[in-house]
Amino acid sequence: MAVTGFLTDSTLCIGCKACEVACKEWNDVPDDGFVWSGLSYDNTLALGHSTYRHVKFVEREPKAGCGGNSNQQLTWEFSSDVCRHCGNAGCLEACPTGSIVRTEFGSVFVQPDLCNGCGYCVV
Amino acid sequence: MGSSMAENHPVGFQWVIEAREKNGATIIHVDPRFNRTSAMSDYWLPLRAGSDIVFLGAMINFTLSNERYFRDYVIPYTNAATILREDFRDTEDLGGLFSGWDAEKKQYDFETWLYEGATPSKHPGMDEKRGGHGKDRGGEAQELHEPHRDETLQHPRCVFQVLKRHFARYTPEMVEQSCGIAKERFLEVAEIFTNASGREKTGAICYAVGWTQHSSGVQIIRAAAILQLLLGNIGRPGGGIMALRGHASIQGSTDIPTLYDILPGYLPMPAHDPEGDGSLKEWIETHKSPKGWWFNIDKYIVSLLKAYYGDAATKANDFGFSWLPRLTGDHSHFGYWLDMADGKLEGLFVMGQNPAVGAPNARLERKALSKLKWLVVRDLVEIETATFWLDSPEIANGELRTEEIDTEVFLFPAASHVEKAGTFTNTQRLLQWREQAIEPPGYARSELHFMYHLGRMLKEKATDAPRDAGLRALTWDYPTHGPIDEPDPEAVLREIHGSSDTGPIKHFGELKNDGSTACGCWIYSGVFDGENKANGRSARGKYGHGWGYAWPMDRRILYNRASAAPDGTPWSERKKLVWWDETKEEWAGDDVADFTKAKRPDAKGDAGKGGDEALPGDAPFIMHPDGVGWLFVPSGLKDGPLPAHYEPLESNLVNDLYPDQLANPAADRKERPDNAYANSPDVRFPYILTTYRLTEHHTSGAMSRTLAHLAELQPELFAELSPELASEVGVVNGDCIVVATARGEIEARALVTGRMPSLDVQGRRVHQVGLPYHWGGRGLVTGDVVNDLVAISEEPNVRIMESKALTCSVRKSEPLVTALE
Repeated sequence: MAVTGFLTDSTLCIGCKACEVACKEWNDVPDDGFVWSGLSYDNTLALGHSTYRHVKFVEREPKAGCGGNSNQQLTWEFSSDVCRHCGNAGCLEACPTGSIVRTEFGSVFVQPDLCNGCGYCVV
Repeated sequence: MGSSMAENHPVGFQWVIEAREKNGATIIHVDPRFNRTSAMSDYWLPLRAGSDIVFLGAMINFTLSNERYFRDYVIPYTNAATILREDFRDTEDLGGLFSGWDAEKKQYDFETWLYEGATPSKHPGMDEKRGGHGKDRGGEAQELHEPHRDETLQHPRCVFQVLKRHFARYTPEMVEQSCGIAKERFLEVAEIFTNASGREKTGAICYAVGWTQHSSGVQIIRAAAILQLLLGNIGRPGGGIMALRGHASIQGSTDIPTLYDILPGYLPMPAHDPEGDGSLKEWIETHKSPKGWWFNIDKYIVSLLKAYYGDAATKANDFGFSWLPRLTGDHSHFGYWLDMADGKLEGLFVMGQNPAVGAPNARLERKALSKLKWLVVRDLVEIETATFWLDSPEIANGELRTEEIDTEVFLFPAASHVEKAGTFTNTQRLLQWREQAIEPPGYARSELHFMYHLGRMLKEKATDAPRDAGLRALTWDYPTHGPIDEPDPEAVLREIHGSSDTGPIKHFGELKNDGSTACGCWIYSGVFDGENKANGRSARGKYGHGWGYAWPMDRRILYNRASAAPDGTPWSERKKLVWWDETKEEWAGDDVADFTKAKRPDAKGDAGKGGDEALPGDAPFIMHPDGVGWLFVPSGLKDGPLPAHYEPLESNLVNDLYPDQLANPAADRKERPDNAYANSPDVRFPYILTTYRLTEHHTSGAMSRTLAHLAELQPELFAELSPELASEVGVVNGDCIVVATARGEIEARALVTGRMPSLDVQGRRVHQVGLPYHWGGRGLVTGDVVNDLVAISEEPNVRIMESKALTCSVRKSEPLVTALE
């Protein structure tokens, strides 16, 4: 099977978070609680057991005159902080329990019932 | 400008991104905040909220003084050459007022604004009872005449010269002084935007309520219209002014209005006139235009009355015209809500809105509800408006006591958009049909179901009394089906499309004034020509014909005759849209021509015939009696024929442009003890406040704060303020702060960010505070009601409040000291 990956073109992303909502709806996972972070518009903050997609808001001091698409300065970047389903997935190789597997569609999947939370995949 | 399109219209914004990616379009965002739209733009210019006309005026001045206007377009297609009356006086001459100001009545007499030689006629557009939606039809302004023109544009009283003098004081230096935008930045952007003009290029302007919700909102949009007309950017591909709509079918709800001052298809609502006879003839004489498209207004009103009253509408009874309600005063949302607060209103239906959270001076609006005898609320959830008597802030603070409220509240569950069929009309006037996906749960019903069965039951209760005559005559025979007797929405669309005594009609061109045709909304006529065209799903060509139906006549770009030169050839190969086909002797092209198909470009107008035939073949703006775009508006506006900058109703600054005239003189402040204003200036409220929406929520939050996956994304009310302001008031990011105005105060979390910059304006540092207004007392996430801070005020033309520029104070919230436990 050809090596595939999951790429998000951040230069086109407007940070609407519709993907976050759609992902939760599709996978039928619950909310993560209603906590305001005070960190830009990012209240999702990180991936987790019930958050498979995260749009990270990278906010830097903007300068009047140039918007985010300007070559001069990126000021508010909406970065896709999610699994890329890498062809050579380090997390999958590192997983001691076999919880992380490659599916028949080529995607990388975490089987929650086998995960013991060791965190090797993150490292 | 006046919009965060990426934030609030993310679906439509894909086309902006596509223009950037595929065509290399430059995106310029002018907004007090750096938001999602700024992040996607090439340029972001932060401006002081409420200074939009200074910025746009300077763009116009730049265009005129640097010869950037599209001369070949401007002379034939606008009223630049038209000569004005000798007694017209501009704001230049009268210290910020136009001629005709009546200080006692606080309104203008606009006779001096007419073209030279025009005879003034009855102008109900200025009548206090009528709002701006039912504005001047063109015919109200003046009797038929040929405007005096000077095509060299040299005559000192021609519109072009008046425009030049009027905008001369709107300089780049003034932009720096008043908007807080550095002169160099302004010039850079002015250069880029005015370059998007001429035969080969066009530029578009997108705006939303960031322009509308000001005390001079209509004039801000007028300024954009002047700029776009000068640059030749109207009626051409890639040009235009896009009014971004805040909800799925807001365009539809003005076309077939939920507004008090118009009937379907922008026909003015009749008003009670003690001096008139109230006849249909009188109404037609008042509103019919001798030249241009509104010549046909009699056909449209008679056909509408036939759709309403069917066989009961006859020539002998004026087609039932007397059965239509009459305007007797300001029945806009604010007009009737203040009446309600004063105990003058008995009952109210609230559908598709949540004024207890979403309307200005929400505290006044909530308290007013307690004066009603009955209140009907239809919504997806039990919204704050339905529970004002139970858990509103006024119940909590003791201002209202549940046991003392007599209002009987009826809550009806509503079907959502997937649970009913019908159309949406979007911002480009496109009607799109949607199928019903599932049955509504429980007792939830569609609006159509509710209104139809309510009407049916009311008709059953109609008596023989004369006041019930209209109700008895009303045609109300839509077929129903299924277990809940759901009316057929296609039957309604067919009625809107229209019919004649002899069978189906193709479009509004076939409507007549003799009672032989019926049509529920003339501009939509054509949508059901043989089939439901709103349901079309096979798009073809560049402009998507075959997908949905764009009123009128499936024209995708309005006034597209202007996409061709006066001789009928496209301005350029790159920007061609419609053109005259000499062999077929008709207008051809990629769009349906917004023009009489067989009218030659060199046709002379036949004034003897009137209407469209009176206009020549090179007059693209067919709704106007002179067939041209109006740089100068001779009639129809209540606060001036040209935009002039006035400070917001609350401002700590001076009016740099007209020092003697601070605020828009024609705006209605509706000032009263429960709708108080800050002074201008006012040391108590030193900062500028502006309100807006976030992508994650929808307006009052009823549809988003109740859904976990949306509520978690923006769970709490916050106020955006600059690091500078934060340090001035001694707060850090995340602190609880109190934001106060003359109406009240609310608590929010401080989001300290450089995206909300402080600006240098009039030689001092000006701080702005931004508040999204989505929170209320119910739902999964709750918060204070930001609209408690906003005053009820009325822009003079369309009676909208000023929620985008007010004054406020900010302080750190002191934790409540509670008794020892």
